[in-house]
Amino acid sequence: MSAQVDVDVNAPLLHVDGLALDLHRRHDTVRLVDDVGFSMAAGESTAVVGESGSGKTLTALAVLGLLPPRIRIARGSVVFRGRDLAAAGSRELRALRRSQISAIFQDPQSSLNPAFSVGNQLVETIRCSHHDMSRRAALDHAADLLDRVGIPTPRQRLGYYPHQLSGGMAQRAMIALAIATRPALLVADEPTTALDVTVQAQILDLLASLREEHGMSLLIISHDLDVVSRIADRLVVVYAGQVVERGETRAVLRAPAHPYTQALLDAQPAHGRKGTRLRVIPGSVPPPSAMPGGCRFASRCDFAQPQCAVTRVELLTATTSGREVRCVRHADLALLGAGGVGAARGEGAGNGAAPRAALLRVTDLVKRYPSGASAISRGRGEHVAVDAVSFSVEPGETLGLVGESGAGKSTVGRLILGLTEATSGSVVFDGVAADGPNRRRPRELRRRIQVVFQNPYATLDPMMAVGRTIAEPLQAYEGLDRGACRQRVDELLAKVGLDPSFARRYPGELSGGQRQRVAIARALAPRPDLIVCDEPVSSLDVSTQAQVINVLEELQRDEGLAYLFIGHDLALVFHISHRVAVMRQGRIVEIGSAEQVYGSPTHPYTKALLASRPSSAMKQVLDATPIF
Amino acid sequence: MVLAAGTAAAAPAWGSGAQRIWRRYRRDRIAMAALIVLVIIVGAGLLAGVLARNDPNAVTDEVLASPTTAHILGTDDIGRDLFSRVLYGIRFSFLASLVAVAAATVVGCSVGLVSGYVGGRLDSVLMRTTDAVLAFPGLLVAMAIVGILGPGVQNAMLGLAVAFMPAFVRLVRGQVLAIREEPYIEAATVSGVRDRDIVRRHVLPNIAGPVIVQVLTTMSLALLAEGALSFLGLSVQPPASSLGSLLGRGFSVVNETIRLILVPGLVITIACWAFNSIADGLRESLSADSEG
Repeated sequence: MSAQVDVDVNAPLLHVDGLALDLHRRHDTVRLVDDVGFSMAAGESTAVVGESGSGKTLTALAVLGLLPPRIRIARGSVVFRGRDLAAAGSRELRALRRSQISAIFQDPQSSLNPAFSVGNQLVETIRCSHHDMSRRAALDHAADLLDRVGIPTPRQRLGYYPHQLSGGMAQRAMIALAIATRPALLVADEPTTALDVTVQAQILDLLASLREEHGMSLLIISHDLDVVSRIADRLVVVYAGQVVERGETRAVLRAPAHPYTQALLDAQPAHGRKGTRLRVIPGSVPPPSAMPGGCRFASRCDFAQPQCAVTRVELLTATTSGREVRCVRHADLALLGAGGVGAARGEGAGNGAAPRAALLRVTDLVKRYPSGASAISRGRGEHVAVDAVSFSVEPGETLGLVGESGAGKSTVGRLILGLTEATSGSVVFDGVAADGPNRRRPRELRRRIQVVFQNPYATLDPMMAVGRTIAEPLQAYEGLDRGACRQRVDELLAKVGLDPSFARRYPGELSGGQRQRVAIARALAPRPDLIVCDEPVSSLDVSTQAQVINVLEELQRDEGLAYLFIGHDLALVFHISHRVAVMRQGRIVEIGSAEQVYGSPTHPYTKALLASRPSSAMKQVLDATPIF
Repeated sequence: MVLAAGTAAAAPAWGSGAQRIWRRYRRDRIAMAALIVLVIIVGAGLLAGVLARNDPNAVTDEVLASPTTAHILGTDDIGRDLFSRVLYGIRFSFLASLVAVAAATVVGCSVGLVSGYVGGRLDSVLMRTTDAVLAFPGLLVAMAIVGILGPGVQNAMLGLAVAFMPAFVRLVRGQVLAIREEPYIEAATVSGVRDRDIVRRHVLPNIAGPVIVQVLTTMSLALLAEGALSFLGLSVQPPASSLGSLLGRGFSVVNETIRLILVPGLVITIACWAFNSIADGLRESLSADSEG
């Protein structure tokens, strides 16, 4: 295959140097990636880590030669085995992707063609590079590949269509597709973000073992330091289109040299102690059209000095650790030691809430759906989404509800809100039966239970200004007139940390975190006693996530709110909850105080869940032999 | 408080949804050209009384005269000024199409809203009725209605309205079904907003875009359909003119000059192109807007 592609096998596998990418618009150009560089030897795994908008995915696309048409390489080079991909034509790039470089993406379901069976797609890929292989031999090879990525009964699965596979299976099939041509480099863009924790762990293990077997290099793009720590040898931290820190994974995680890396680590709930505020990175990434001339992180940095914002900083090599870091003060900061940056944390709310009468009591709640949506299978069987769930929530308490997707967590929330009707069982809120659809419930009951949904992009009406959205419950429940509303809206915005000027803005102009704050302000407006938080931060970046969680915790302290906090991120749920209930296949398998459940889990599923979270792998890395 | 992220200092000069869409639309050159062309055509129709120097119905001796300064587009087979007749024809055709489309929009959207939001048996009844109308070609429905009620402008408009209505019912029902499931509708329910306010404040503004696009494409269809009905003498009655009746009349003398069918034909073609291009541009701006 390599006959078509002129590659030098002895050169470093991949060398990205000073890469800059420009978006060409009609009247101007915007620099999206400014200075990203790293080098990978054959068989090595490197992770590019950053928040959304950092340019990490664009970097991956540049390596794959798949940049969108209006984004072009402005400076720097991407050299794969001695061949500059920036200068390569589309024909050559295609040949490279056919034989040398493969990729997997975040959402495996949409990366596979829904119209063809998995077997067909594999055979097509295999015969791309083995033109003379018979279809039968290719099918054998395909089954072998599925077996290698850990798909049971591979022969049968060849006939499956993508929608018949679970998320984890689909990602495995995608990986099989990617390794079919025995690539030298596999680019994995957020390979586990869309998957459940236990599945995440399996996929990461699979990637690690494939890398060993095939001597394949792995370029991982991720926002999740935990995931990355499990699999990458080297870490490249990018911020606002620039590499800010580069080094060996263990060394970077043990003693981050750049304030941004440190802040990212501190924003993760696994690192912040329970009952403390999560560290927040103030402000937001400057927009690409208005990048400061100096250090791009300066406006958000705790250690910035006046000169930081004006003088351009190059990637420097720190003499102590052999690490490269883009910070003029890295030498001073290193003296502070690893704990120095995160040391000044505020004290959080106490957990010792005395037991009181339950605010919400759920008894034997059941929700069944007819299984199979088609008319043909109607009445044949039932799918039990929620199976005899019972729990209670006290005033001012946070009950965390964890479990993997499909466990029925969200359905429980919807049943309590009356957005879905229960098959049987009872929900009693402060002595009043909360049954029937929400719109038929007594107004007072409706007022007292509010909701914050997962997806900040869909939860606000795009055609309605933020102020009017927040005013809706005020008008509906309190009958306030316009003037009074405006004042309350300003107060509510202030409570969630937004400027009153936001009232006039539209959801499209807001970031994910800002939208989620607006959603919280709306939930807060009618002065409820309970807020059902359905994965309120799972689609946000780590630092934004910390901001929103802190807002929720402060509000609980100030207003005595109770939360039913639904989530799949164990560390996060542990951080915010007083008590935790673990759900699996519609049932609560374990419930108890957060310390109990996480410290000494009794149910095997809880143990499995806790063992598979990447943070425990990270802990092992950090607990391993000291580096210095 | 975690105030830093909330300062509005770097807020771009965004406006409401409509302003954003207009800003995007303005960059589409073809759509802008179409808009200008349409404004000119509609303006000419509206100002027919001022622009036309000759009475459109005044018969003169100059039969089939070529363009002169007195008759800038010449005259027709009984000596009437073509320019004046085209201007009044535009006015008539647009008015008839507009009334028909407006009726189809109002009734179709209402039915679609109710059908989609209420659902259940009412939905089934309404949709089967709509399907029954849709089963016939639109022009055939319109002609059947005019055939039963008798030729005339009002009956033609009624026929067209009935023919175009099912498309609106289907569109709006589909949109409502999709939007009903949006989290922001559920959030509004939990916020205590009443059903009719949910429809008014949340559903209507969010389906307005596709409906406007549909209105524009239907306008071009209506112009053509009204032309066809007039051509067949089922709509406007002589001596008044519409673009379609001009075309029909011109057809009878096509052996002597093609001018009489060329001019009204071109106007209809250009107007249809304009409506469709505006619809395309708007659709692009709307979908770009929903992507964030």
